[in-house]
Amino acid sequence: MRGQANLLALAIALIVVTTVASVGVVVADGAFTTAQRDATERATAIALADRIVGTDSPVTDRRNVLNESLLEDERIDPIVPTGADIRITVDGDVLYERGDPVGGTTIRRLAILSERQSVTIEPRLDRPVVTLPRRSPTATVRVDPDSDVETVRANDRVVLYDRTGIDGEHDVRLSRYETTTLEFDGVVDTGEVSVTYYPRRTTKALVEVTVSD
Amino acid sequence: MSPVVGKAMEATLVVLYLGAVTATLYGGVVPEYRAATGGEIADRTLADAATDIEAAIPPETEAATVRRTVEMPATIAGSAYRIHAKNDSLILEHPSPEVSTRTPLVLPERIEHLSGTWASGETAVVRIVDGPDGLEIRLE
Repeated sequence: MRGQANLLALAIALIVVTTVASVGVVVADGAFTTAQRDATERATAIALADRIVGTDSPVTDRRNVLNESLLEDERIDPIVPTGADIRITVDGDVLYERGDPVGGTTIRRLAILSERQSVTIEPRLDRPVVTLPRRSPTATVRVDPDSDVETVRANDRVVLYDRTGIDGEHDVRLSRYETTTLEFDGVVDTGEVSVTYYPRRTTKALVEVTVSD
Repeated sequence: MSPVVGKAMEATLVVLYLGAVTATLYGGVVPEYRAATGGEIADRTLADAATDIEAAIPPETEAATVRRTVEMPATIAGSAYRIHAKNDSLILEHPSPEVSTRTPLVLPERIEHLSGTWASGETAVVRIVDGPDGLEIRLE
């Protein structure tokens, strides 16, 4: 009888050991599942996001500054890798999409979106001096032919000169770093001169790249 | 029953139990985990290799030559493997099909050509040179 009691105890002990071992395997399996990361999707998404907002990207002016007029999917297409489903959005608007990357990895980058506007002012010229309130790399000056303006200066630098009187539209380059004041010599009536300048408006933009393998 | 027979039966039972558990584990659970772990390591190795190659690309300049060593593990899941470049993506070849994987590379338009193979266990070098139409990336 004692022998059989021992056998029973042994059997119970073995069952306990088996249960513990199974619990250990289940825990290890759970830990393994949470450690899975889709490394290749992440690497592709990070590389693509960095390329899009980088210096030599087809849609940026400088690093991290997206140019709004260049945001088209044909411009992005050459750098998007083949072989995966990809979606690229800027501030929620889809810029490029191939396939349907459901359940893929998303990488975000914060960048600046710069938009060029065009603002025309017809200065009231009691004194023929116009200060442009925003900086702009160029300006278009339109002068009526019968207005008798010979010289246009930007910050004391002569940008237009015509001894016979300036006439028509001319583009002038302005300083990018200083506020510009345009001076027209001669007496000018209102409406004979107009200046169009192109300030940049910058807003923050969130670029999201989703890649699914 | 005499105590000796009883003890002998217990010993046999324990030995049989160990044999059964070992057979179950090595037959089913362990190879599966080895393959899954190998697949994960292969994914990460390939992602690291792709990131290293993309980081080695020089900025837009007149002429540039880059030579950079890339680190890779010597074996994955106990076997040697190879990484080769084809059609703008990297492919990792391994004897076990669950471990083989591929990933696309994100390359700028200046790159014209991508080729070469790396074998694990040897020094892996990425070389970028100026070609007639653009930059060429070679894995050596």
